[in-house]
Amino acid sequence: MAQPFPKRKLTDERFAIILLLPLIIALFALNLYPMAYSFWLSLTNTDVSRGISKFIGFINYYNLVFKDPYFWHSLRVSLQFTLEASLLAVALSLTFALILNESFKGRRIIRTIAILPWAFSTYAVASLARYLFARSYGLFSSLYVYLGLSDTPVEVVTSESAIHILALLFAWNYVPLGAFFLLAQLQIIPLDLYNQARIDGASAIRRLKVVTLPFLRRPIAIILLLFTVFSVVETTLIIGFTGGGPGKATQTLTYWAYAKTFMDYEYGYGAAISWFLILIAMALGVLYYYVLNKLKL
Amino acid sequence: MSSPPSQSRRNFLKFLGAFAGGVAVGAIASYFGISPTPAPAPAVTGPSASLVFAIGGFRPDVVKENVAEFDRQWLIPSDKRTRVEQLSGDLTVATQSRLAAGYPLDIVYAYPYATVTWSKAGWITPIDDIKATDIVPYNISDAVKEMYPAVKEAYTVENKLYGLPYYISAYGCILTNEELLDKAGMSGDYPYTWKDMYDYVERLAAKKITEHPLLPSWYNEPFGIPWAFVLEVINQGGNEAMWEDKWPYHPTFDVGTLAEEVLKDWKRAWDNNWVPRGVLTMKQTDYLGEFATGKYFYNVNAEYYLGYFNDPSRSRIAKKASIVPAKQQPWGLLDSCIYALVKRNRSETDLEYAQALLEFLGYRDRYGNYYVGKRWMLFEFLKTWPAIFQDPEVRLVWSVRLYREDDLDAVNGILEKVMFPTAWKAAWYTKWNTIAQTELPLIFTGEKTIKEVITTLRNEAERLAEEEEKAA
Amino acid sequence: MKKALLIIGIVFVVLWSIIPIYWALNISLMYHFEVYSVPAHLFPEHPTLYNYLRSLGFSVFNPFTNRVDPPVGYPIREALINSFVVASMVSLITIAIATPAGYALGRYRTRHSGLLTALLLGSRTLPPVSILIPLYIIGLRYRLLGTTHGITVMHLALVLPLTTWILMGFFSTFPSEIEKAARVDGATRLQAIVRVVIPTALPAIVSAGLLSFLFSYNEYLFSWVFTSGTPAQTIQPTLASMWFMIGEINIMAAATILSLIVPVVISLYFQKYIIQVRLVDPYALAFE
Repeated sequence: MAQPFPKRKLTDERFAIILLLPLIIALFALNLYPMAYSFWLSLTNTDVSRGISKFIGFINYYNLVFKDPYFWHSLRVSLQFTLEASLLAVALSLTFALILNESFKGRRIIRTIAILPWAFSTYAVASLARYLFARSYGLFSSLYVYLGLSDTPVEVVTSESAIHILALLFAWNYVPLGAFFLLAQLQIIPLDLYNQARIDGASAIRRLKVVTLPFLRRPIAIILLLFTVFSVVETTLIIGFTGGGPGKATQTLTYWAYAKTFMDYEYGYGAAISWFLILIAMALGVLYYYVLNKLKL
Repeated sequence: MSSPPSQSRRNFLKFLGAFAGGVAVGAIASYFGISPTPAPAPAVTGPSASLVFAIGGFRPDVVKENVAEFDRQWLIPSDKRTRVEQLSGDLTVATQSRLAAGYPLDIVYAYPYATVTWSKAGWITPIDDIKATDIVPYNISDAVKEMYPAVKEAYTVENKLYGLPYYISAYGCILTNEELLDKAGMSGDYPYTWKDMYDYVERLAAKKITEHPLLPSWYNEPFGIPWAFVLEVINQGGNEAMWEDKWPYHPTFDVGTLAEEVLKDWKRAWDNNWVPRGVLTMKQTDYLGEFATGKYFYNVNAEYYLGYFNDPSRSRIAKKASIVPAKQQPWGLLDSCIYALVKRNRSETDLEYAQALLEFLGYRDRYGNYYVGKRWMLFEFLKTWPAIFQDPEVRLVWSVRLYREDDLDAVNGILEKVMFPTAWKAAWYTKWNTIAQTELPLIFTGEKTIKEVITTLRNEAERLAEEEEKAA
Repeated sequence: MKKALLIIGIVFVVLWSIIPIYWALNISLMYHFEVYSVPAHLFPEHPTLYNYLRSLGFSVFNPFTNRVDPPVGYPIREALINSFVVASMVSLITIAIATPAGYALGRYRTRHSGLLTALLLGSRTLPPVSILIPLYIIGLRYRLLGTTHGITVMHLALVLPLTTWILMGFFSTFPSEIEKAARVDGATRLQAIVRVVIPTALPAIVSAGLLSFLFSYNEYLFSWVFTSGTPAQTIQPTLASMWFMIGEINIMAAATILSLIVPVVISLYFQKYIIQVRLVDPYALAFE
């Protein structure tokens, strides 16, 4: 058969690009373009409630850092939430992984139960928590009565406790992920190492320190960074559980971006807060990539 | 007198079926008594294209039935049936983005502030001049005479009226738990001003019948604690106690004014443990459920929720939840929404059909009945026109469900006096509302003093109002 | 000593995981009057499916008020169906795009693959709020609001990077020998993929598909903006709307439990998968 054109050789590279094309198009249309658009919005004073949209340069960013009375507060709350939530989640992940790695009767069932919260939507987690922590129909407030600590149900969610409870909820949602990841790592530790340590007369705690933890250093670093990134951008949990309250006790930076965008309709200003967040999250993302690939932890 | 078309009668029977059987019998009987003469059928049958009515997520089933009745009464051909478009997300944003993009819409829902912006943008059209024709049944000037004064005020922009009521509610009335009041020996003895209410609460607290006598609307929603503050101030001191009476509504409240008195009352209630601590973190559902437990004497709420609190499947105070009438002071602020007519190029006939739909939805049908308003009143206790309170079916159905039939007149009386916060016509109000939502609870948690909070709120209002003035 | 510690640990794990679910279940089996008992009841005194039946669109007789209560005014059944449809479409389309892309990234090193992987990673760390408004504007322009296919497209925006990342991870550890053998036997690249690679990788692909399904099913913010209040409304915004309207806590609890059935079933599958296959990056398994 005559070939009108010389057949071009399908190199690996060309083949790869063909396979990647749909993804590249989708990424551009659905991620990059919206991101660029949102950056452009952050340089305008777009306010839907006033029907204005004018280019104003970096004034939103300037106002955010120097004029917004809630910025520093929100940043501090974000920081506190991120620290508490990610550390708690990592600590519990490790504990759960060690427990689930032991061999005992019914381990399969326990593992099945332990993984459940991972699959739940953040909104569902917030809802479950509202049932649990409500004063009128919650478990914990009535527990005080059952334990004889109080005559009437106690208010559990206060402006002091709210942020800690949110960290707890974050941990509830994400611990299974961390635990199962660490569990998978634990299972590739050669048993010989343990046996050797046992022969050497090392106690259980010492075995954990000398054998187990060195193997988990890298995985722990990975989940710590992950949880940090996820807790920095967490919005739905706060919307669903406290709505930033009581007062401004749980008003994180993401919640502030959400409130500015959806309650005040200031799309420009909201976009500026989001971009501030994107920078934080990206810095963490780069760190994650670095730890994962470059630093041979 | 001839009877209404059988179609609409059947429909009426159908929706009445939702209510207790005994009530239905009486209601049907009286329904036959008031059947008016139908207007002559319009000469032209139907607009050139389907009318479009954009709605939110509230009871789309009822809306669709309403619209179907319009199509029947106006003999709209089946290929031109009125279309109901359900919008997602925030209704105002969703509607506004479609108006801005020039979507073909005819009737939209509008809140007071949206009415201001949309009218200025030329997206919706004033309705004062609508005159009765073959297709349009009424002169709007006649309808306006019946309107609650606050509604007229809220939806008038530069002396033009922009819509007819979809619902009207007085947010911030005192709902009562008559069972507890009876126990306290205080039934029928009501406070008629906010100041009095706190004194009554103090007396009730002294009787130690419940843990907390009062459930105030200080919950964490835009319409929670910020509205509670605004309404207590303007009910007692008029709009002038909060802000000036013309755009851009510079604040007049300050330290040493009524606003501080109100927050002192709040603080007194909080410090004396007259209110539950948890109210600050409640969502609306919690808030409603809480009063329905029957643990409080008073609840600051919309009169709308009388229906909910008197529903035995959801409330422990069914047939015991009542309301304090507006005898001295007005109660609450106007929470409402209108049907607005979208401005676009239409033929004369098409415009008349759109106007007819507006009147059908927001006023009366072709037979002179408040068809839509009455259905909303029967199904959801949504109020629109004063006359509906006198409707025999409405009275029958609701007197069975409410604590006493007089409560209907109490609600009507409250709506006659309810106040519209004038600053709602300014763009800055929502932003200030968000700030108030975060700042007001701080007086309870002790992070700020009352003076500090008032100063912040005043400064922010002043700054936002100035910004708005400058931008214009 | 060690045994005692372990038992305490196991009890803790179980209580930690179960209590929040149990409590919602407890409330969901009560009639309204029991929900607000003081102190709250640890077990329903009159357990009933009343709330579930009303949630799913039935009228139910309530023996305590002696009346028949109508179905709840929230389209819960419809929302569950919508969520199922959307999540199915999302997972199918995602797999169709992400499998070849993940294969290409995992197998071949091209000049731009580094940039692409960074992009995949970066997009996962985006706060959803930041791309919501632009996508809303796009949605408005192309009439995607309030439609099932509209929210499907939006979920693709969120799920694609994630799924590609998982499959890339999988294919990079996938032994290339089988494939090479097929190529030696004369198969083209495409034939090798279709005949050899995909069948071998099927468990991983199915898992990635299920993850996309779960992600879409669980997503709240976009679903709220794109579908709430319309016939396309999915389950998460429906749950949220119940906190804002006149909900009944017992009904809401039932709706929440109903919404958890799908995630529970999927997690049962994954419990096995994570332990056995061990290759899944936690990055990929975390979502909304």
